Formats: sequence, structure tokens, C-alpha cells
Amino acid sequence: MKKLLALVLAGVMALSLVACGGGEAEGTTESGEELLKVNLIVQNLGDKSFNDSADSGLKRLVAEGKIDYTCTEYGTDNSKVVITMEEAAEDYDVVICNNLGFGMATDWLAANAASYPETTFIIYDEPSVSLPDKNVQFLCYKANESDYVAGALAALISETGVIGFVGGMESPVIHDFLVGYILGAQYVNPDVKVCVSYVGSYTDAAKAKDLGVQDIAAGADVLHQVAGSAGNGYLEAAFEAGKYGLGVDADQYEAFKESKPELAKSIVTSSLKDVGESLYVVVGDMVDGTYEWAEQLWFGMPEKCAGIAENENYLALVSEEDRATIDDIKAKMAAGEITVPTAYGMTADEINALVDSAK
Amino acid sequence: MELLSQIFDLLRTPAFAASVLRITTPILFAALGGIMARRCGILNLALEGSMLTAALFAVVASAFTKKAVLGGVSAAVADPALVTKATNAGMLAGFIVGTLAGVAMAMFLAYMAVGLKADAYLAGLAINTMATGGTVFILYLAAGEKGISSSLDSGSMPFIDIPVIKDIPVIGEIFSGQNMMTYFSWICVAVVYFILFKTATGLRIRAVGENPHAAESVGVNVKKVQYIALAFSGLFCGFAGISLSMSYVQFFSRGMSSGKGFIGMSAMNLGNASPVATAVAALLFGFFDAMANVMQTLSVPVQFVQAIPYAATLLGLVVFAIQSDNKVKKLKAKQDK
Repeated sequence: MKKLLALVLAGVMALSLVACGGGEAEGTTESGEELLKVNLIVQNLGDKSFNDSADSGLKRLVAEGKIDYTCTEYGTDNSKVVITMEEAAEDYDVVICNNLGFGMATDWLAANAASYPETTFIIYDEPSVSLPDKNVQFLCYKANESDYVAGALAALISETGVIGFVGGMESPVIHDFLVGYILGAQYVNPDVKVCVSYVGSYTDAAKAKDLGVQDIAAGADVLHQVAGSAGNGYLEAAFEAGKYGLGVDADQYEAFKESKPELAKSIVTSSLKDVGESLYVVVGDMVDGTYEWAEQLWFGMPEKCAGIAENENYLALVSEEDRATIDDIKAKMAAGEITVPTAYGMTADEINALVDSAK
Repeated sequence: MELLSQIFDLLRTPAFAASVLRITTPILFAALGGIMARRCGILNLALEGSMLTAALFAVVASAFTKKAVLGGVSAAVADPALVTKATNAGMLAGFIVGTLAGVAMAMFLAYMAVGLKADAYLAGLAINTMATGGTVFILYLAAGEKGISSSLDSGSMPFIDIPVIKDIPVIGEIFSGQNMMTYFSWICVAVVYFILFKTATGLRIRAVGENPHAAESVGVNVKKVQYIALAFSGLFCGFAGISLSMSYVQFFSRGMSSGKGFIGMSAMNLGNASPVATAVAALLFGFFDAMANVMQTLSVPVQFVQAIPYAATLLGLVVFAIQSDNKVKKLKAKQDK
């Protein structure tokens, strides 16, 4: 009996492991050997955010027949970060990931990148670290610029002068959105009030919804989420109260358009951070031989990796006058008349002072 | 001092009280599930995984039923009567299948812990691990997604305005307009009390939990009673899952139970598996969770605020431990006389 039990338990564990790692990306070509072998390492796909975005950007290269691409999902166990990277470094020409395991990826690269001279590592969305190794490429995104525009839009369409912001956790990446959002809103309406809160995780959608209900009670009528899949709870709170929502990273109106058209219609626009586009460009350049190393490569609006989603819903909900104002702001940003400060390098006190200035 | 008065002002609003009730709902259901298991002598560690699984199955069943009733017509263009019918059918299917999923998980635990006499802790842990990956796997099969069920058009349990009460200021704002599951959770407290203390089955469950050998000696089928108790435990886990994915929010996202099953278990421990005391403990956790939410609007470090519910849990357990320690001492003192 005990043996049977052990077998059952082992089977259960194995199933859960298989389930975690399920779904290898398809799409290796026949002449796979000649192509650049690219490996994307993520915790999990399906975040409707930057992991999925990275995956879709690389799949575009696969569709063009330029690379041989595999995605590795290692699950939520961060003790696997180093071993996954070691294996990838030996098997692939290009290894792509974000700073997995709260900095474990870059810590490992700092010590080991030189041991794999044949392999190029791409780390996306980590501007706080830099390494001298010529085979490590950091890609950084001007989320502050996207959210400057989003914040300006929020302040424009808000009738109450109160807007909401929910972040997943307090981190430089989230702060970069926040700084842009507040400053953009203040540019349009200096007296704007911004309700700022954090879920404390990227999965607790129920809590995000509570935070949304609370912000609406405080008068907010435009809610902007930067909290991954938990943030969908925040958007739902906005929808149910008949208010506006602003998505993040990818165009979230598109994600809900088919299944929940009513909810989708409340999502005015999304603040974009197009990781996929940046990878498409950089890895594409590597294939074409036009790639040049830099300690950090920055992607913003001119590179089409930042900005807001200007889809049919945006056109339908935002008045022509407001759209003109937004276009004017974008033009001024492009011309350098408006420079948006970034949260990277800001102290906690400076960020708190900014948040307090919009209370 | 100014900060304290600010906090106090926030806590006095009816909206805050309403959010306490809302936040308490899934915790309370999970805690009730914990009670039924603990009363039969098994610690159901799988509350968390069971509610996560139930949340997923409720969403999937609801979405697929709705789609089937609509017959491929988009909800935007279909006849309103048909849409209503589809929505109701989806709601019912989600509720039934979600509940069954909760029960199925508990029966799996029962089979391992009671049938095969495995360690209930290990089996519970295994179920939680399985649910974490398994739900994503099933979500992928059902919706082709791995994070959130945004492509599934799932339903919600109804929100209920209570006549008369809804017109009373303050009280109406707090108690009316909540989701059906919130009212249902408090009814279930009474149900659990009734089952445990007013029925023969309840008596057997408690007897088995106190001393299985004594119960067996008077002819109670211990295994059968434990299966029944765990089925109830799974039933409430099912409700907990439904209250997450079909009332709190209207979608499933990976790991959305976010430790609520474990907080429910703490509430059960704090309430010493008594339905009323457990409900009060669950309400207390809901209160601290809601307080952590509103305190974010003040200039308090976020990390500190987010630690409050967990600190409250620890504090509660310490108080409980001291109390029961005192009880034991008193009993011993009596015996010594």
C-alpha cells in the first residue's frame, strides 16, 4: 500500500512539474542548424504583458525564417534560475531573459558571462544594472514617457480631477511608470489628485479590485494599472463603476475585445512597453550583422516601443480636442521641449515627495 | 497622532465596513472548510489548492455553458432574452461545477489520507503544488492562455440589493448590494454550526475527531464519517473558489487564491474550530486586510502596511496559544485538587 501511495504522490508531483513547464514554443525550421539559436527564458508565458510580448516579437523573427527559437518556462521556483541559464548558455547562441529571480540573472552573468564568449545574453527591462561584458546586452524602456502621455490623457478625460494608479510592487520599474504618470497628469492639470497604491503581488486580482473600489470611492474616475495580471481586477473595478481604465504594457483593449466587449470598451488606452518590438529589432540586427553593442540600449517612442495604444476605442472615447492635446504633448516630447525625468536613480524621498505633491 | 486620527477617519466610513465584508468572504468559506476537516481529526492543508481549482473550474464551466447556450452567436448581437438565459445558465453551471471541483479535490485528499492512510499534511501539500501548476495547464487546454482567462466570457454570481435595508443610511451602504456569495458565507456559518452540533452526523464527526478509537468502539464507521466531513470541507472550498472568480472578480488568474486558503486556516485555528469564533476571526483578518488597503492612501511605507495582516495573524496565534495554555493549567490545577 505504501509503495502505491509513493507512486501516486510521485505521479502528482511529476504532473505538476509537467504542467508548469508545459507548452514549448513551436516553430523550429527545417534548416534549423544554420539559423541563430535563440532561447527566451521566462517564469511563465501568459502574463498578457512583457513576457508574452517578448515571445511574440521573437516569433515574428521565426515567421520570417531568421532564427531558430525556443521558449523555456521554468515556473515560479527561482532556485532554478542559475541552472536554467547555465544550460541555455551552453546550448544557444542568444539567451534572452529579464532580470530573473530579483537580480539572480545579472549576478550570475557578472561572474560567468566571460566563460561563454560564444553566447550573447540579452537582459530586458533592467536599467539599474550594467556589466562591461561585450556579450551581455541590456535593453531598457522609457516607460516614463509612455506613462507621461497616459497620465496627461487621464487628467484630460477625468471629470473629477482625481485619477488612480495601482502598481504590483514597489520597484524602480514600477516607479518609472508612476513618475511619468503623475508628471504627465500635472502637466495638464496642476491640481490633479493621484491615488497611488500597490497590490503587493502580481497575482492577487481580488485585492487589486478592492484597491480600485477604494480609489473610486475617493473620487477617482480614471484608473491605471501597472500590476500584471492582478491589475485586471483594478480595471474591472473601473468598468463596474462606469469609470475609465488604462491598461499597461500591451494593448489590453485587444485582449478583452472578443470575450468581454463591455469591459474592453472601458479601457480607453494602454501605456505601452513593447519588449517584443525591441527584441525583434535587436535580434534581427544580430542576424543581419548590423548589431552594435552598447552598455544599455534605450527604447522609447521613436523606436515604437513606448507611447499609448491609439486603437478604435481610443478614437471613440477621446474627443478630437483632447486627442489634439495629446498629439501636441507627444510632438513636444519628440522635439525635446518636454523632457520626462526617469525614476531610475531617483531616491525614495524624491519619489515620495512627488507622490505627496499629487495627494 | 495626526496619522492615527486620519486612519480612524478612514475606518469610520461605510465603504470601509462594506469592503471588510467583501474581503472576509473567501477567507470565511475557506475557514469553514477548515473547520469541517479539523473536526473529524484531519488538518486540510489543501484548502488553498482546492479553492484555486474550484475558481478555475467555475470560470471554465460558466464560460463554456454560456457559449453553448448562445450557440455561437456573439453576445453583443444576440437576442437579449437569449443572452439573459445564457448568462443565468452560465452562472448556474459555474456554481455547480466549481462546487464539484472543490469536493473532488477534498475527495482526492480523503482517498489519500483516509483511504490509503497517507500523511494528511504531505497529501495536502502535494495537492496545493498540483493545483498551482495544474490550474495553469487546464487553463491552457480550455482557453489557450497561461496567465488569465481573459478570452473566456465567464459570469458572475448576482449582487443583491436587500429591500428596506438598502434605504437605511450607513447600514444600507454596508449590508446591501453585496454579492450573493457574501450573504451565503454567513448563512454557511449557521449551516456548519447546525451540522456539527444539531445533527447525528455532526456528533459522529466530532466524536471521530476527538477520539477515533472510542468512536469505533461504539460502532461508528470512522472512515465513512471522515469522508463525509471532508466532502463538506471541499464543498466550502468550492464556494471559496467561486467567491473569488465569480463574485470578487469575473475571471481566473493564475495563483489568484494568493494565500487566502492559509489565512482561512489560521482563522479556523484562532477560532479553535468553533464556527462562531472562527467567523469572528475571519472577520478580524478581513478587517486588517481592508485596513492595509485604506492605509495605502496615507503616508505610511507600503511595506509596513502590507505586513499588517500577517502580523495580525501571528499576534492572533500567540494570543490563542496563551489562552489555551492557561486553560490547560486551570484544568490541571482542578485535577490536582
